[in-house]
Amino acid sequence: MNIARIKRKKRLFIIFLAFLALSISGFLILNASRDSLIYFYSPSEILEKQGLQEKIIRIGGLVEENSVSYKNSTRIEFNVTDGNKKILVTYIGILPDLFREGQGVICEGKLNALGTFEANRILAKHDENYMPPEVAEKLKKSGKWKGE
Amino acid sequence: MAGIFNFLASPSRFRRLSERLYPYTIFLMVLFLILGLWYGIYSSPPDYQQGETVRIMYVHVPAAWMAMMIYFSMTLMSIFSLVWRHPLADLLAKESAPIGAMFTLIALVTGSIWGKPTWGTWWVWDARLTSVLILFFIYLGHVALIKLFDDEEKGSKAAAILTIIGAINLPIIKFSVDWWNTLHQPASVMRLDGPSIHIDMMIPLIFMAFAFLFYYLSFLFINTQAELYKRRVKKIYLQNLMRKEK
Amino acid sequence: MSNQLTYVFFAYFFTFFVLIILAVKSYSTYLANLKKFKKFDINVKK
Repeated sequence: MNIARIKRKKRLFIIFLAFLALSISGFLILNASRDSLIYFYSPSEILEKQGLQEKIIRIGGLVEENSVSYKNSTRIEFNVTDGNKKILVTYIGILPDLFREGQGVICEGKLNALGTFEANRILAKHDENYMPPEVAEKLKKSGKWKGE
Repeated sequence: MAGIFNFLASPSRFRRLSERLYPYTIFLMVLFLILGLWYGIYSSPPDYQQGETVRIMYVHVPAAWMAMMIYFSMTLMSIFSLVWRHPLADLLAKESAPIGAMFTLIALVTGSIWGKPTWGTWWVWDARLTSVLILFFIYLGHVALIKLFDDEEKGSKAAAILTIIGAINLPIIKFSVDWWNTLHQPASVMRLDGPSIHIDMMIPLIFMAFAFLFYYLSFLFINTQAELYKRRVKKIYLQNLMRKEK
Repeated sequence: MSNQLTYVFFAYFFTFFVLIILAVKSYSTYLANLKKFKKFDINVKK
């Protein structure tokens, strides 16, 4: 009985140690591969980083209010901002339904030499707020709107 | 506490208990399913941005919760099985894995169907989506590993080790949306500063979550009973065989 | 609008399709094993 108990404790201890070691190594691996785990960069990060030109990258942020302009029926230009820095994005193609000013967006494409982002894919980012339209309307009216 | 645990740890006792319990859990499952579907499809408002697509969330989010909850309970069972060598713990982990895999698949597919109209894509390799896909593969690995071994005890041991190693994936799934920039939005319900989801949308979500929870319990009970009956038959068969040889 | 409902329909359809398949499979396995067990049990008692 006593030996069984000691064995049990030993096994529990081994599992605890193994899990601890795994967690630490997992954390280190994830920390080291941070760059490839990040799905998109913010405009500030893009402007800080060097050598991103002509590489396929993704930028994410909000579509700046009043910045969307249609050059012709399919060519569109707008600013993506993170509230700090902004980048001009050009895009030819069909936009997702949720694309609108003030809404989160992710653009995949290349940064050209002029610092303009030429996107070839646009994804709308959804935020974590869910509510009926009437509630959203009321919130906006009462000035309690937290969103952008 | 230890008394209750030892009481339940006997497989035949658990079989009798689950035999008595499963009609009730099926009844609760059906009840919550009807409530969840009524509120989810009919009696809840569309979202201010997504419109009707928000209704996909009422199956997607509870399925994702179940995928993680089942994995968490499998981790606990694996620890019990490795440390205390309870035969029931192995059995419950074994019967949980296919149900967990199914809920993960539901979360992945419904998420994809939601992503197309909302994000504009079926799939992206961001941290959240990828880590849930890995969870699905771990579930499949668990099922395969037990089948692979001829000796069931060895198979269960290997599967328990796999489950414990794979458990690091759970916090990664949960916090991936906070740690890295992902396309997937952060949590709306399970967050520290209170849910950012309107009560009318919370109701179908909670009902569906309970429906899925009782689905899991019902079929865990049923599958466990089936497996125990199968083992009994095998045992009696082998005993008869040995008696004849004598 | 109708387009959105199509997505909703397929999400629910898939979910319940999978849930029902697994439920039917589990329950039929359970009944089959129970039947076998009862048959064996009677044989043993005889």
